[in-house]
Amino acid sequence: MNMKIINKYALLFLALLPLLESCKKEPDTPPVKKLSDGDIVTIDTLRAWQAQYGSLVFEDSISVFGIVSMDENNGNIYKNIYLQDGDAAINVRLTRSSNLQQGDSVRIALNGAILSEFSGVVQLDNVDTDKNIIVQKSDVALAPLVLTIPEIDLSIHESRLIQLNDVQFKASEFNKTFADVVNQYAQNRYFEDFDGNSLYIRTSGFADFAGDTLPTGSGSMVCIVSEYNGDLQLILRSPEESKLEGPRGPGEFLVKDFNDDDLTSGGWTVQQVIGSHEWEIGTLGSWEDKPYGVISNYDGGNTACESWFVSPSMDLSLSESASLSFDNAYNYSGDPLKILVSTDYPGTGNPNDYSWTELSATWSSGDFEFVNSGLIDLSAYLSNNVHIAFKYVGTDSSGRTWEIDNIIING
Amino acid sequence: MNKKLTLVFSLITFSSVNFSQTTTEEKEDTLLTNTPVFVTTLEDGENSSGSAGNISGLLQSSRDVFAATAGFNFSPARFKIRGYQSDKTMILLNGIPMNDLETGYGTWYKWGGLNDITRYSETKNWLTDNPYHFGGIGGYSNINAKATGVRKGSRLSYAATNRAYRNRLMYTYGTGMQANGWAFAFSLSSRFAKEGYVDGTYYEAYGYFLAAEKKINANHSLNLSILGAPTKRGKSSISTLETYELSGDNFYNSYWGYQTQEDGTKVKRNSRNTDSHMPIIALSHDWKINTNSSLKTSLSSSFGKYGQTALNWYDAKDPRPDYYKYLPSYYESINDDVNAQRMFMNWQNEESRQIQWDALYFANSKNLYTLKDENGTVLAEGLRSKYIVETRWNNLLSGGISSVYNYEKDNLSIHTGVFGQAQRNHYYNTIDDLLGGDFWVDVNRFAEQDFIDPNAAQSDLQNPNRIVKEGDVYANNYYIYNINATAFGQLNYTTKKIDYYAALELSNEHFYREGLFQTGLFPDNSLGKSESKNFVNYAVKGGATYKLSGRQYITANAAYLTEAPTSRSAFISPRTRNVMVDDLKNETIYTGDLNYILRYPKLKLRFTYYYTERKDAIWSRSFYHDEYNSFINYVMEDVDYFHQGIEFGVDGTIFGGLTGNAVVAVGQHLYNSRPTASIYVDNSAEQLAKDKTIYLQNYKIGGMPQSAASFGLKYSGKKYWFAGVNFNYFADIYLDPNPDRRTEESIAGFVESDPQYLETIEQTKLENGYSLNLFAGKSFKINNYFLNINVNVSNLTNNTSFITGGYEQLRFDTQNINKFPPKLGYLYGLNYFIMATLRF
Repeated sequence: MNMKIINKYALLFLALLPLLESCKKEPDTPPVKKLSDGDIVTIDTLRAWQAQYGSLVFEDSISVFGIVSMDENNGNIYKNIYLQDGDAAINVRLTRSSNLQQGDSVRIALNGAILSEFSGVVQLDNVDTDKNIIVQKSDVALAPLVLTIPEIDLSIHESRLIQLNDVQFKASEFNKTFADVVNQYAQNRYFEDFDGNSLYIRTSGFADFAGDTLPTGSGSMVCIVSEYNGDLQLILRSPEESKLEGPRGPGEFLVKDFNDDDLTSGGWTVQQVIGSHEWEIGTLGSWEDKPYGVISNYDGGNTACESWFVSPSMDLSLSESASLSFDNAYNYSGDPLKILVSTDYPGTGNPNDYSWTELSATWSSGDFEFVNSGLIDLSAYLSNNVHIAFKYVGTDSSGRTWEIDNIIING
Repeated sequence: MNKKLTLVFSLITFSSVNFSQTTTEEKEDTLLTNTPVFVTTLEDGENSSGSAGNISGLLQSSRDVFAATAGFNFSPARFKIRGYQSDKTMILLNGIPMNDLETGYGTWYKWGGLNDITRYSETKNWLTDNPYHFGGIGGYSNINAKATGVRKGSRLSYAATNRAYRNRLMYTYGTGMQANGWAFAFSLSSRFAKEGYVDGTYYEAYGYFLAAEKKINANHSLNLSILGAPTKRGKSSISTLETYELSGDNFYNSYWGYQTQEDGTKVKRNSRNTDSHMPIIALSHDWKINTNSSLKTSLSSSFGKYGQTALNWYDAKDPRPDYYKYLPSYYESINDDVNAQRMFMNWQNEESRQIQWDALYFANSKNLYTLKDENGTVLAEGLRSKYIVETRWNNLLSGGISSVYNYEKDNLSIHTGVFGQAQRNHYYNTIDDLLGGDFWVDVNRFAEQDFIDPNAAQSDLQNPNRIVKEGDVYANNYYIYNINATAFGQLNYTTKKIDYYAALELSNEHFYREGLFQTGLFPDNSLGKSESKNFVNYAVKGGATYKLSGRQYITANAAYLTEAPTSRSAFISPRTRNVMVDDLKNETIYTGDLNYILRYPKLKLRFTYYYTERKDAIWSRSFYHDEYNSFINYVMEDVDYFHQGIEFGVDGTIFGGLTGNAVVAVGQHLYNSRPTASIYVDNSAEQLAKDKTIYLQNYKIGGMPQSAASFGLKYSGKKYWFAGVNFNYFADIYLDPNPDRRTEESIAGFVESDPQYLETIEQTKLENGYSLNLFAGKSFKINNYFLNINVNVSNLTNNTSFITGGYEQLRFDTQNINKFPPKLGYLYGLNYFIMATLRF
């Protein structure tokens, strides 16, 4: 066989292979816009422009980049998202509800968008959901800025994603839901840190979790900083990532402010030992029509009376310290009101059958002049069954009218 | 042993491979030189461009190892020689052109199963001279279906396989030329599968062939051949990756579902059934004028039916189980986890992920309806079907005449011929099954919604508000006429060192549509004849073979052609109107190849470089778009194609009975222009786009491996047996690009750095794949009976994860490109073909 000839042509064949390889042709591309530096604007700049010019309508196709810090998937916000880039953030309002996800890095083409302010919040309005938001990447990490309540400064933090550690809903919010899910009204819910600072989150009645009961523990909350005409309000991003399951820290453990017009709500009871004059709701003379608790043994004449207004059982065993404060006022002559504490009262029955310790407080000097009791230390009573009680005593010849309000137990 | 048997085996081995000579040779149903050639590809689904193109493959008898390997080992992976579709290869039967005039495609479905006849074909899959016709740039294949083309004696064969069908029985008998001047032959074939490789498919096909040849005298003979292949089969779909993953079945078929019978049993029913039978009658006259010249004249006709069923529905949910809104991914994309989970569960159950026939019947049974006209007259009362099965018919009536004169003397030979062909395709829909309902109203549901004029919704204004029942013609009804006249001449000249040939063709193509319905939306241009289009074309080719020695050759071929657009691509929405693509123009093709050939007794080698450009072609597709409730017709004009590559094939004896072969194809098949696209809706005069620029240059032509390689070993034993193995590797497989994604409009709003920009325009390259095939055979002589047993096992490793191709859906959403993901098809897993043949 003529191998030489074969080899010659085989070489030719081998020589053609790289030739084919070199014929690789790049596919055609439709004309596409390239972004140059002049086509990109930062959120910071947008905020500055808004401060400078008020309202702006964009006609050019400049773009802003950012990471979606809060999406609208749980319904707490609707047809809007929050966008953040570094330390700057902005509220973006959309023409249509979107499927954007937190962590989506997006480019927003600004043509057609309106930069403005609403209730104090700088916003990018009228952004076309379908055409102008281009997702660049998903699942981009965006760490919330950890702040304390006093550190939040609207002028710096507006629309930013923040995290507050060691916070808990106030005791006055217990048993409430995040919002009014029945009427789908947004509602504010107050929370506090362990230093007594408090603030509220505002939740939409359309949020998936609007009907969930507020958690009672403590923990971290991840929120967007927002405002309503100068009032700082926070928007909770999702209850799942803000689980308040830790032990409660110092803070309002129990609040009785009578504002619900209900004397016994929250588990308070009246224990009538003598006579028929009982604790009741009063509104006379109170400013802003806020109800309070009141008792008097006068009904054209004085009648002997002993009536206890007893708190629900409180478990203070997890608290490191506890204190009590309340407002009080009285008029007329008679026995002083007493504030007492017990760790063995079963919740019902004649209080005199159990052991109570009287606590000292600052008391009103009469003429229905309200004073605050001052902080009354309960640290000696950190048990799992603590009751406090206001003991009223009147005689056939005398008896004061006592008014109490804003009973707050911190623990 | 018998000498004849020895001859058979020598044919099976590679030793007599004859590269460039025209030979008529026998083809067996086994590997390499002798392969079953009818390879059914997976269906094209919604993007199907027509009824005729559903069987592809190569009528392969050339003993060129490259062509044989491409035909058998490569074609299951959709490999196409030189990247050409079947319209580039001329198929002839007794010298009569058989390609469909309307599409240009080969019409294998007309003689499916008649392998005993079609194996006697003469095939060249490359640019070449051609004594029968000018042919195509992809070569030609001439089936000798004359009575004398069938070997004398009987041949009975049975094959068991697990592919599209399970069993095949064939019997063929030929008398050979008898002393009385008569030769007769017949062949019968049946192929059957209750269920084929893919769930829900079935096969019920027959083939018949009858031929009589009379040698009138030494100079004249007549032959009459009649053949046909009545076939019914249930088809398989190709679908998205998600459906395969959800069902755990890479051969998930969305076309079938369970239907409860009266006795409570559940039976699989396919919604996509094909029912075809298009017999061919061919009468030929051979006249040997003198020792140097002859004239072969033929008359032929082909006619019959080709129907395909599909579900249709009115005012009801989409019944197709793989509709995108029935997939979890759709709900995931809109953050609806509840429904995503619901759909996921739905797909876990075999019954619920298929067509819900019982639910379709139930919906029909609850739709008591009174249809009134504007005057309040009741037109129909009863159950108005919400769901039906319709049949889309494409019935053929065609005739042809051809006459070819051959002259051969010394070093010169001349072939010249004239061909006339006329073809009428009758397209219409009938109702196959009302699915328990009483009637269907022949109105266009989309037009009904969008137009105030009630006439607009009529399928046929001549017959408004027609109540149609099973068997009735409805929706559309029209003829497409094609008339072709062609003349060619070829001259071959042989010298000691160089052989030459040159050929010229002139042709005239004429077509028009004739509407039988006056469509409500197009009252002025739907009924009656359309404008006629006429195209005159010419083609030239030439080639030379330089004989380095008696064993080594260098050959070169070149051709320049213009081709008329096909009527299939010319009519924009033939279902509804007489409108054609503006500025129809001829396609221009130029091609050439350069070959080096070695022909030693124990070593054969061919190395080829080819180059082809096609200019100004039309590309058109129809697809169903649920937002429009209608077929969308997408037409690209000025589409250029580019093909170049190398073909390499070597086979030879290693030692003793061991032979080996290697085949390599490296191709580059590209779109080569920026075409313009126009988009039309069947059910609306509205044009969705006009002359949109498509940035398609240099995109790969998809749906096939552009490159492939095969390595084979075969051992032939002394006791008339052989066994071998082939390893095949496939590379450079791309999804065919959806042109509409490569437009300025589709990326409007994106900038270069946006990931969506590349996601939208970038072409998807699929993973390379492989297959391993085994084959073996043995022959026995028992008295005067010859028994051959052949076994082929394809894809021995049961590799079911090889995606051989697919296409991007024409519908897309740039913001979420995966909303309408590509449809993909997999190579069949392990499959076999076992055949026993008895000759006597």
